[in-house]
Amino acid sequence: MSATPPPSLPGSISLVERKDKALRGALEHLAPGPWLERADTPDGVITAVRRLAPVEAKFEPFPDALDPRLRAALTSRGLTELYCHQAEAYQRVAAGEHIVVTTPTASGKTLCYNLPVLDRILKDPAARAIYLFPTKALAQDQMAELHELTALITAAGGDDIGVHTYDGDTPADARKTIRARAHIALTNPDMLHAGVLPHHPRWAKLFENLKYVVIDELHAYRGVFGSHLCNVLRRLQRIARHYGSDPQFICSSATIANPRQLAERLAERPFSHIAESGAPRGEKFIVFVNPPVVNRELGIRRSYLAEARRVAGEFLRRNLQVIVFAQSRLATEILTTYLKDDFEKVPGMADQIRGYRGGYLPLRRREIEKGLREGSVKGVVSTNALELGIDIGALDVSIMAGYPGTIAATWQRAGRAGRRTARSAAVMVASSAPVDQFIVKHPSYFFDASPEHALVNPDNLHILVDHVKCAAFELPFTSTDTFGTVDVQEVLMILRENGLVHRSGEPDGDEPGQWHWTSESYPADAVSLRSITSDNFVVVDIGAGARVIGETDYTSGPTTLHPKAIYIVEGRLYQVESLDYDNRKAFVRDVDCDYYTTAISYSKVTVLDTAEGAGAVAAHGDVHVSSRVVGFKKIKFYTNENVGSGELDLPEQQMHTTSYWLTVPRQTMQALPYSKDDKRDGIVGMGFAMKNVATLLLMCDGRDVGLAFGQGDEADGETTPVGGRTAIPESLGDEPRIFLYDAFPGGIGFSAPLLGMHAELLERTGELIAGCECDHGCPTCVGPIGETGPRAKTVALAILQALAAGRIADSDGSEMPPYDRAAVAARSAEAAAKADVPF
Amino acid sequence: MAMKPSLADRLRAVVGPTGVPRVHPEALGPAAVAAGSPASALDDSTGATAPLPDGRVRRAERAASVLGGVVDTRREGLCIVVDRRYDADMRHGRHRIGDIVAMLREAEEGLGALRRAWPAARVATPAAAAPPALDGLCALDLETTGLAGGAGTQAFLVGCARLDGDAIVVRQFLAPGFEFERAQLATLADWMRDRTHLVTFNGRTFDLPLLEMRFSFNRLTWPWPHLPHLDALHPARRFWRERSAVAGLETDDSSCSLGVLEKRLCGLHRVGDVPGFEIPARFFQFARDGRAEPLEAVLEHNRLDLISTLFVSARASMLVVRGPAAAERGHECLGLGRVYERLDEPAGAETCFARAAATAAGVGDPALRAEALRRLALSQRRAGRVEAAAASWEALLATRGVPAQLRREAREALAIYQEHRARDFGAARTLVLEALAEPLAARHRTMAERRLARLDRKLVGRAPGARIPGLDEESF
Repeated sequence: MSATPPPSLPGSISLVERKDKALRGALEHLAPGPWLERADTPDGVITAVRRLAPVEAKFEPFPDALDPRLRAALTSRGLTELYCHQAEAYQRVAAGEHIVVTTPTASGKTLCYNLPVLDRILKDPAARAIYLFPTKALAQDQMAELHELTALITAAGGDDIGVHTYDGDTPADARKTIRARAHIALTNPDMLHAGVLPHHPRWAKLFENLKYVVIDELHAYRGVFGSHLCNVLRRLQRIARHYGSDPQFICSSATIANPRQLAERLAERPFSHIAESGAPRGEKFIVFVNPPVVNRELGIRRSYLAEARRVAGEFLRRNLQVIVFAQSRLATEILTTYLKDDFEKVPGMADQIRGYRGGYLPLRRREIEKGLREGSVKGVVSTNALELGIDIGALDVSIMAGYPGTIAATWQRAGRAGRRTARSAAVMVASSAPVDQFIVKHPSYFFDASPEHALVNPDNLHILVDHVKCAAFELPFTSTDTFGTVDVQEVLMILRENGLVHRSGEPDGDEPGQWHWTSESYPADAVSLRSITSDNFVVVDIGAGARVIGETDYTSGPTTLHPKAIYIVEGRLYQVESLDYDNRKAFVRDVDCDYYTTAISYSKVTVLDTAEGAGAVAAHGDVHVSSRVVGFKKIKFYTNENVGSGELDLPEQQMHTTSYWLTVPRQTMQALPYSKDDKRDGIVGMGFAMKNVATLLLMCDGRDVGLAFGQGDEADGETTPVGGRTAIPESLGDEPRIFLYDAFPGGIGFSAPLLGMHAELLERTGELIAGCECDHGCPTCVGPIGETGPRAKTVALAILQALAAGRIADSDGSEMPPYDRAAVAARSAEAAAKADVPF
Repeated sequence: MAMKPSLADRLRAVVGPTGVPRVHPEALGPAAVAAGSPASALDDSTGATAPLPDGRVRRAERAASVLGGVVDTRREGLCIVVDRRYDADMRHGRHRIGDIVAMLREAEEGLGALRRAWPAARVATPAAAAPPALDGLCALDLETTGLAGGAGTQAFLVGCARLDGDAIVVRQFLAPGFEFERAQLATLADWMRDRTHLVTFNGRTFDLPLLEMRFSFNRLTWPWPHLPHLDALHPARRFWRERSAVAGLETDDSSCSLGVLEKRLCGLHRVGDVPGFEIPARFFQFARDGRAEPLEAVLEHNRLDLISTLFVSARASMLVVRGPAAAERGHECLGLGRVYERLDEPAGAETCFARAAATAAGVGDPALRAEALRRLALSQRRAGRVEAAAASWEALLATRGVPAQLRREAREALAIYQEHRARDFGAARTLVLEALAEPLAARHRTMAERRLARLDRKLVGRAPGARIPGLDEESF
């Protein structure tokens, strides 16, 4: 168990000393000069070296109420006391509170939920618990840990405690036994949604006695997935109520800005937050590396993968255990190959460097995890698959090839190195992506800021309606029921129009009526928790006798599967020969080529409704977006040259979503001393940079936010870029408008927080553009040359300055001083809370 | 600025048209057609087809009278109970009801044997217990609101059939609305109290788990955890599932659906039967407007299913009791052999296989003959009669038009026999060479080549008949 204090063996002192020395040597080599307390140097290659002081452990004795058999089991593993957060979790759960625990990686977080749950089961063998993990692998990992603990409990005279995973891999003949016997069912939200809740009568015993719902890795449930999870939990709680139980929630989360708010939003219950960690931590160094510029004109830097390889080599050469996080499966394989090559001459070393990613067989993964724990694997290159709580022990160094995208994920990955007492290091090597460049050049944004807010919008109509259907299938609604916090009657009324439900009971009688599911379908089958609509395109390889090789969601179908598009699966290239749009099928054949494609799409945004709190410059509200793929470009691998293009004519996709928008006032535009074309370039460049900064502030993927340009009120929104390459309007009029919209039908709650962060958005956009080394604009700041003119950078900065000067006039009223993160965070939290208004 | 659509309109856009299957106008009967257009009947929120003004009791009573039943009123609510009696002289296809009942009574022991051949995992019936009397038998069949299962699938109609003298009596339990399921289940459980065993068609995987889920959903105790149960689908597959001509051993389950079996075995051609996919929609419509006319066809469909289930069970039991002489076709005879195998009666099984092989030779069905001979050989080998087994394999190879897969299996078995028992390496080698002359899967080819090499070494190195330590290790 991870909470055990390290034993002080006589031999271990020298090992710690050796590693300390090696680490110091590598750091001195990487960042020569005074690196212990050094100032940031944003223009250098090593932009920052920060030291995190060691932290002492804070212990608490075992609670008196703790079952003696559980105590004996823990003692037999060498545990004599608890970290203070574990003790606090136990006490608060005992007091009946719902809790969310946020403490760093490797702080013994799992005991925070295992302790109260096992204690309860020992005292009341009828008690049941459901554990939810975002992935099957995590559930397997936790089951192994729980089995170890329950074996010790049995050895200490406790009854058998049934711990079982229940997911898509569970054999059909084992399911019945598990339903009857599992005290703790470890599963994932998808299985809960499609495999458990719709069959709740088979789980009657579990639901009648359901005491705890444990949600691990809570921070993973943001955006679409989180919005779905909230609805799944609404269904779960509804069914629990039906069986007369009222479970307590125990959640654990990586450090995000709003863990309690997220937990309360997802479970719709009041939570207490346990934030103080009692786990010790050794001294840690965090280093930011920006690969040197090799072409100033185009703003091109040295490859970040090559730089990550060099950095990893420094540590590996000194016999330190290293984990390298890459941003994609492809990058993982490339880096693994590079590092194996580098150490080919050292006997046995190449075999000690392994790759790790989703898609590897479970057995191989377990072997690598074990090798990492035991030290026989010296270096591992992984995707984010190892970011979550898989137990791989304490490594010496964590290297991130590319900024992980969020502050929270960066800390999570950094936490993979240096568990308790030893000194460790984490190195982030920035890629040339705008967000990476912003972070690496503004280390204080990263170090001094609170991490991101996780946002969800469970009342997105598409998501809500899907789950109301599932819920009606599971248990009839009464005519007075709500669904979580939502008044569900109006939704049911519309479902009735479609014959999906029927209201029984006499309308005027005393008894409330009931809404019954009146369709043969099994609605959960049609709802995927990982996307908004379950509609999708399947990819059929006709080269190998019509084999389905992949799928893609409906929204991104046209941009990734248009005719002649290159579709990539595990490094193999396929070309789309035809797209059967109506039947949602793309027929592909494998090809050998040296380019990939990127679609050019055109979007038109129309404002439907402006929400309250809008100013003259910035606003948010409901919009209608219609987009169409009009063509594509061929981009050569490695050099990213444009080697051709084509025109396409695909059906238009429409959606109703929410958007933030910024309107540059006519006076501001008129006052600028530039030509009409230059002004247009400035706006486009500014929009490009704003979109990148927005993804940074919103803790989301670049594809989650759409960018479109339009004009002030007379004419509604026009056109844009989706997916990197753009179709930009020739002219933007004299009152241009930039839309940053939720790229999901119905929206998942980005637009209100973005308005809340409006001032910071502009501030950071200015910093991003001004801080870029390029001369006239590049993909890192205002977009690729050729899509914006030579003055884009200058004009964008001028517009931002003018907006900043005029900000006091903005109807927000409150002036916001630059860099006041606390105020910004408070405002965005407030805005996020406001965004909760369901319709 | 464009108008923001109302919530209802946005919901409509999200929900979209779902294409609920509608009931065909003719199905409603003249009364219903006169009362309103069936298309608008879907929407019970409009005045034109609002629920009948009667209270729920009167609504159920009206439905019961349309369907020829009565309303059972109890604490839990209402249930419509419909009884039908099928007298001995009535017909089911070409059979008299009385003959079906007589067949069941004659083959009572066979029914028990089939139950033993496919024991339900959870039924721990003590072997010593007296077999349940035939008068306690109940055929059971559900009509449901869907096939997907799960908490939202209800059994709105539970049909039961039992024997009464030389007649069959059917009792059906219909929920007069979604909200009366509890009453329906309670009424059913009451009536079932006197029943001692069940037959169903596909009940083991569909009807019974679903019904158990409904009891559980209503927080009612499942009353029949130990009721002996025969799912007639299992023996029916053995006896009557067709093998498609091309693939030889490939089977096609649709050939032994209840509908196909009753046509083939019983000559029943249903007239105006309601298609299965339309059944849920008819109940949904009844729940909305209370008009029971479209349900009449559903109840009739269910009744015919029940009688056919009894007929199929009777026919299968009869075969078991009368033995291979009663089998009308080779496939039945082969299937009967396999049933005997399940009942651990190898002698009976071998008689069936031999007879099936002879019948197949007579009608020129090589696939059937090969399969029968194969099973015969396997059974003989299990009993240690290796010469007899070898003769059966020889007979199989001597048959023209046998599927390649079976020829390979026969040659392999014979090669093993020749090499290790008869110790005729030359004959074994010939068999292997014949096998290699045909297309083979890589795995089988490797095995055959290995055997060939070993036989060659044996033939070269030693005189025929001598034993070679270390090489003769293949288990026989």
